[in-house]
Amino acid sequence: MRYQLKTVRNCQGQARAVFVLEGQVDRALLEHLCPGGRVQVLPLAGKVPGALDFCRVESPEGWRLAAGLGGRELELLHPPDDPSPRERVERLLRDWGGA
Amino acid sequence: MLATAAELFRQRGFGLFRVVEAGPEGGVVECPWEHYAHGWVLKFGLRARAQGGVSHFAAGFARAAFAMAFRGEPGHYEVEQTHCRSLGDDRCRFVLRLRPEPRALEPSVGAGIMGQVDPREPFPGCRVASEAITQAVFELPTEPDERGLIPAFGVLLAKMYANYYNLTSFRFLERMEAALGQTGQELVESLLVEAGHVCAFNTFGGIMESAEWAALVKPQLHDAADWAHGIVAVANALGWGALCVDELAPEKLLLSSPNGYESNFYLSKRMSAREGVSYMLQGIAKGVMNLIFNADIQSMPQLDEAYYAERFKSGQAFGVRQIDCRIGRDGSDSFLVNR
Repeated sequence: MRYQLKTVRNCQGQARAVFVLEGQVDRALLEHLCPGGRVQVLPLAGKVPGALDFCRVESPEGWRLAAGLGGRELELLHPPDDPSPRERVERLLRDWGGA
Repeated sequence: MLATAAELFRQRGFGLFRVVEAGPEGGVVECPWEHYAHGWVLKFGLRARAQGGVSHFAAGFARAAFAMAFRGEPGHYEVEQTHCRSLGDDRCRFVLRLRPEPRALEPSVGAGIMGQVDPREPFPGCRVASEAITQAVFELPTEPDERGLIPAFGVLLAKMYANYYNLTSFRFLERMEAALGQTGQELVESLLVEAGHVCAFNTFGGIMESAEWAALVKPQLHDAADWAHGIVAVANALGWGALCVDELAPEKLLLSSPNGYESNFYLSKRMSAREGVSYMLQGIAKGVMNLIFNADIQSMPQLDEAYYAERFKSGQAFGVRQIDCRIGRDGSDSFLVNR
């Protein structure tokens, strides 16, 4: 899948990365990016016009993904000074769907 | 009682509160994680040991928990912070000792004097479902993680008590006035407004760049004005008072609140001589305009200190004036933001 890494910042020490995807986020994609992760879905769709159900995934290693299901933005939170989750997500995103 | 206090501490995002020893004469509490100490390290790095720890809220919380557990009223214990994560320790640690005589404490103002929030007509032309957003954010679960901390919207949240903020900021103001007179007052007021401005930059900026925002709010936003209505709707779920957009244009925001928590506090203290006391909301109001119409938050810039200095402190940045204050008259606190 093609994506654009929109921002990486370190607000209060938290390294953040927001990937803007060419396609949409779905549960299968999140499971691909974070196998074995703990998935929590917050039902927001229907509460506000146009809102998407919101999904958080916590990996066994402690980093987290967050995204609206059906949306295009995927946020990665991971411990400061540790680039490995971002590199892993980037690699898996590139592999997803053979794109 | 101490177990209840520990759970309350965790649930509100202050960290983990572990009672190591406890008895009527005192005890020891350890916090493997603590909101302020962790936040300090993330923001500023480690402190020199001689500067001491920063977990003042946790220290007071431990003192109150022991007092209520063993004496049934506050003021009976002294506390010393012996370890702090901000000093490089692996935990925060507090030693509590029974005082020979209880210390008299100022009673809380409780909820303060709140103004009435009347139903309002939707802002003319506003396409944002503000009330639905406020309600949805209010219902969002903000469960603490395994550290007892609440990382959400790109920042560390804590469900802080309004009167803790009010009392500490008021005492800061009072003591600096006593030491430096009007200069002290002006210095503290500008610092408190700046604290709100920095809060808006980090918290509102973090919210508007978050996945939560993208899922919940962003689908409704079509232009910059919508972004302002959207973030005000989110802010109305944060417990700072009901914020209303009265006027909005690219160069001007008029924001008001009939029950801002700072004026609730000052009204309860009967400080009729004071004016323009809603310092945090002043900073928040100009922060909204600087994020949306000065910093172009829609392009998701990297919100670091260099960007803050460039956009929030430049000559082009929006300023704010509190043009109405609930103290001494009926009505709302109102904030005019322009350049």
